[in-house]
Amino acid sequence: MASIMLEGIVKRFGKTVALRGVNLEVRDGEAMVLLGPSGCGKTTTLRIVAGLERPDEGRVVFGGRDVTNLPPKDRNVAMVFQSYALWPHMRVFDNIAFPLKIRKVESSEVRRRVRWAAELLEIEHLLDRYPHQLSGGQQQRVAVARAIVTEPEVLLMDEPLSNLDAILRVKMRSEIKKLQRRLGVTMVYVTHDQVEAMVIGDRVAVMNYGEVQQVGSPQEIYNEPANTFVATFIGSPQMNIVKGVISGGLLSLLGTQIEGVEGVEGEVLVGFRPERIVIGDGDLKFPAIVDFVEDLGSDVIVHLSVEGAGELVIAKLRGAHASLKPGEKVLAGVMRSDIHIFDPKTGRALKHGV
Amino acid sequence: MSRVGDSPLSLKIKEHVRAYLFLLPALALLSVFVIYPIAGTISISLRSEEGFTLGNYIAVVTERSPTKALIISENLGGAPPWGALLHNAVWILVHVPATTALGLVLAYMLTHVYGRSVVKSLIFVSMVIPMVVGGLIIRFIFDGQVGVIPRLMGGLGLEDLARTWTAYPETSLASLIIGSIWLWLGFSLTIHSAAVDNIPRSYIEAARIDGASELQIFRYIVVPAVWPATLTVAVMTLLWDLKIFDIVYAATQGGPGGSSTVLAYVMWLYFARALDYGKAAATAVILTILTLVAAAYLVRRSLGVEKR
Repeated sequence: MASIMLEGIVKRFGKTVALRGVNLEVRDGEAMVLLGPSGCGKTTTLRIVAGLERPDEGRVVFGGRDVTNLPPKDRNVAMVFQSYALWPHMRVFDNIAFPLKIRKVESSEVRRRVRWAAELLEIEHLLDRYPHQLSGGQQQRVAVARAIVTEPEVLLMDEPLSNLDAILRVKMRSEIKKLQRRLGVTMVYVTHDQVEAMVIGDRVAVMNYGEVQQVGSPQEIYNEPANTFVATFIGSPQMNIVKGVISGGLLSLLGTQIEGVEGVEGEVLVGFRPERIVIGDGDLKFPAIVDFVEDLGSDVIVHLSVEGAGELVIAKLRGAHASLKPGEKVLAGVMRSDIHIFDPKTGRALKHGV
Repeated sequence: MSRVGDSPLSLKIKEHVRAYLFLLPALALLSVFVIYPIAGTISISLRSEEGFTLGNYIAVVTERSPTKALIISENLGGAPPWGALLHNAVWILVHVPATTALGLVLAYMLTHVYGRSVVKSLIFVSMVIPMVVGGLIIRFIFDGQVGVIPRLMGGLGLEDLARTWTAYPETSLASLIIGSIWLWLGFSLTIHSAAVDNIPRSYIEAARIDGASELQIFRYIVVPAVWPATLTVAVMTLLWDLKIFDIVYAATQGGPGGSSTVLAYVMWLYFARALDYGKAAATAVILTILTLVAAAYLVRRSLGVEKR
């Protein structure tokens, strides 16, 4: 049993407050991704789970056991560092075997376990090498092998893929996910890459300003963002947010209107994703002028300036729309179900779909 | 059309000539101030009344009078019958491991201490004071009336050690060696501190998460990581111990009864007291050869490290 509970974690470094009351539950065997921009507190949260930092307030509970004041070695955790932290003076074998030797595991058992971990990560042929003789991707595999060799209850990963090139990153992220499923280990994974977060996480905790903004499955985070921060941080290009007014169920925005918006009154922020915009269709249609076209081959990112409203809207369209030219007039549209309403003061979501 | 003068070989020669042209000024200075004096010393050491012989060397090595003996001395009582060279050897055997290990352990321990830069600076002070002053301080430290160590020993009831160490043949060498550990610790600590600070924090944190205790982290992660620095400190300390002169001169003058003399001090006695330049030169050559062996290792290692 290794669920993780963080209750009201506060962490200060001198005068800066890194975490202002983080509450998070990671279920047994779950892959939880902490996602957020740099400085949001995600790595600090991970280090507190690991026991490398002590929280100033709050509790860390592993499967009912309060471990807040326990050192890392009494928590049965393993961690993969961003820099891999392979010890340069040890061969790959000794790097992977180190946690076992520290636990005084018998040497035949050490060999068996190291071989098991090395096979899982397909690095059996590298065991005699030194870390500096390995490529970045191979070093990464060694670091993961070292982390799983003790079969820990909790596996922590601190941006493990950020030092790899793009192709390797895509390959490794699915491998890590498969490995985590196969081992059934509870994992906390830190990243600033939203795609990585979506692929790896059973659930994703989006963090900013030392707080958890929203916890949910990738689908929930994407479809029902809790606030404007999550809405704009998740998805690329980021969600369009424009000003609107609702009075008597009539939502006015971008020089057009849509009826039957119930439950909210007054000034609001209205959000809709670029990839949900269609040309010439939709429940809410607004005329716009093509400002700029980015042709990505499969898709086209079109910058639309909305006449009269003075707003710029980004649309992500199918490649077929690559023929659009700057200055061209189009009628852009969005479905009702794709419209999100946010509170203009707090940024909190009021309604998903109108 | 090809020009005869441009064959690869003649180009190579031209390159070499040019290289030597640039080296010429430095070589000229080196010849006058380094090569000529060395050659001169060797030449003096080999010259005696019978012409060129090894006579000076044989005389120096077999000398047995307490103040000038290199190997076996016939000093009376107190200290063991060791000559200057054996004193150097004992010095190295005690001082090199002690200073190296102490510097490494302190350097790592200080990373956990608040205000470590103050402590480091205090220890480093011993490096910036002139060694002659260091020698005098050693005399004070081991003085029977005011010295820290004898008073401490007296307090522990060790009456034999509660007197002026430098004045007795049994303790004179020991006082110098212990004093030199203190004097040289700043060097060891500074080099090791830099090396310890260079260990990525994640190396240590990874070991900590894997369950290693502080002692295991030190043994399996820190020591191997700073090993190149440790080797450098050890060899530099060894070189210093071979050449050691100033603190001996200031603290004990090699005495009493030659019980704390060292190679460089014997050389100085032949040169400045006995005015026997042949023997002084022979001692100098012996000292140089011993130093070169250690230095060659250091140079080769540092070149090897750069290549990697």
